[in-house]
Amino acid sequence: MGKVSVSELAQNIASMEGIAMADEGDIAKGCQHLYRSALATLRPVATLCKQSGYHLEHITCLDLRSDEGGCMRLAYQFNRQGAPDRHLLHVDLDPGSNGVTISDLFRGADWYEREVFDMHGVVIDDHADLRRLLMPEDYVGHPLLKDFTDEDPERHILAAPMPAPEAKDEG
Amino acid sequence: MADTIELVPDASDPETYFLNMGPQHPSTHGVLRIRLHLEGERILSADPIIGYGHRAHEKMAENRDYLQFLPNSSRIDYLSGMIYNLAYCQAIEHALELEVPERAQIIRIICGELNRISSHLLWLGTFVLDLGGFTPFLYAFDDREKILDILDSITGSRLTYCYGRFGGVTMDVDDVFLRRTADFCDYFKTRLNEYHELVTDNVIYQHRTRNVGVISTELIQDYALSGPVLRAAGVAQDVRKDEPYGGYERFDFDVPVGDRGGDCFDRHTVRMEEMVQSMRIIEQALACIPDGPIMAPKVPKRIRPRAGDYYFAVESARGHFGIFITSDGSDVPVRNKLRTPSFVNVSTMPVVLPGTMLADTVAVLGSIDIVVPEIDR
Repeated sequence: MGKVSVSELAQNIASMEGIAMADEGDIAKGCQHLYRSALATLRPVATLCKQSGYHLEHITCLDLRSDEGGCMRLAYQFNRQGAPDRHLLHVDLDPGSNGVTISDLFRGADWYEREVFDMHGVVIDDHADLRRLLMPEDYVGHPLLKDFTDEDPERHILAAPMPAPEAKDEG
Repeated sequence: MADTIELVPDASDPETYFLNMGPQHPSTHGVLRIRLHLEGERILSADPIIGYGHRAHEKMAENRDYLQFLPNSSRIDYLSGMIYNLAYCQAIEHALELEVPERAQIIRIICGELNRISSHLLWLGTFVLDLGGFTPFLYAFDDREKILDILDSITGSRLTYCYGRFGGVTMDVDDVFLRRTADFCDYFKTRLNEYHELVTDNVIYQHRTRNVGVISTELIQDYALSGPVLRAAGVAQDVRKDEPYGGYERFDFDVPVGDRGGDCFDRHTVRMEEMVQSMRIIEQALACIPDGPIMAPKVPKRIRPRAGDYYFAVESARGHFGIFITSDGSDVPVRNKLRTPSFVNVSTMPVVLPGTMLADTVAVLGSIDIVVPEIDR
């Protein structure tokens, strides 16, 4: 686990093919670095972060389909122990296309990727065990999509009303 | 035990069987289910199944404005609700670049640390109860009750506090609160010795926890562990030290670490020591609390962070709690991702549990101090 200096990792990531630096006006407050990455570059960046001793802080997904040039955005956040140096990676996917796993690099990504699949319906390729995480396994739909409506609203309602308890004889 | 891990789980093998632990098991502290594959009493594989307590906090956040989400924040983790409530306030202040008056900062720190002690006390009581010791549970709940009374006197609630506001706190504290807090600290110091006599020095307790559920250093980077679980493994990391927020930089406290390689007993000693450190912070805070306003003078009526991503982390009683907010500049966030420490800690269970005995599952789960609503959100 060779530690590299802050700027070295940032420079290494920035020089990779498929990485675009954030625009001047973009805000990622709390994160020191923000990149936009092509999906193909995700795994090389994750590998580099791992080799530099960084850990994966979280993965999340944003449903930006209603924006201009709508996409599903995966956000990966890498950090190190000690003084924070957060690298936030935006991977914009066309709606309907798949992501790719990094759970073989960071085992902690396993549940985050399952959560992304469960909540946003983004299929993560090469994930060893892509099951739903929070919702029941027979659930229909992906709740954190902006256009989500419960496709089976009666699922949690009892099919037949509970029978009234039989009246007991008084005395 | 290393050789037992190599056994390949085979469902067709009549010598092995599956056992559901939970979702209604008392020592899962809520509705957590773990699907265990066992050979006799030895665990071959473990698959935590979560989501029984999923309340869609993140979806709710996308359907209401920033202030309306505030009462949700303490319900993410009801055992250290104050810390989560204040964390959300601080995340919004971080996004809006709001300065909080010094008095409010100190009040927040006192309340947060009191809440941390009460959370650790509940952990101590229920953990020893899981292992079969009933008496410490009563002691711990007695002391926790005193903290709840103190916090109740200024917040009006006992568990799910909604005490923070964007830019400060709702109510000012009075001398009675300060005196009661100081009295509690004095009282609790003698009480801690009793806990050590009752629990730490107990031979049965030590046998149940030593060398059990070792979370080794190699898992740390892989899973991004945090909190007492990480510190028990010997890494002195604490968000309060590494990136001080809300005025923690002015206080002097130590970050306790374990020295046995990260077993259940390490996690016990780390939490016991953390309570001492929390008291140190409280006593320093009580000595330096200034007069002044408790709310920032100019808090915008409508909370609209500029479009972009915001990440803010605090040290909760269970570890690194991060709030990732994506704003599009409107009243309602696009995304409010809650990065909770218990979620991460429980996701290590498929690696940590295999090779241990069934009865030790209770010790391992108890020692990482899971709060199921926080895992499920």
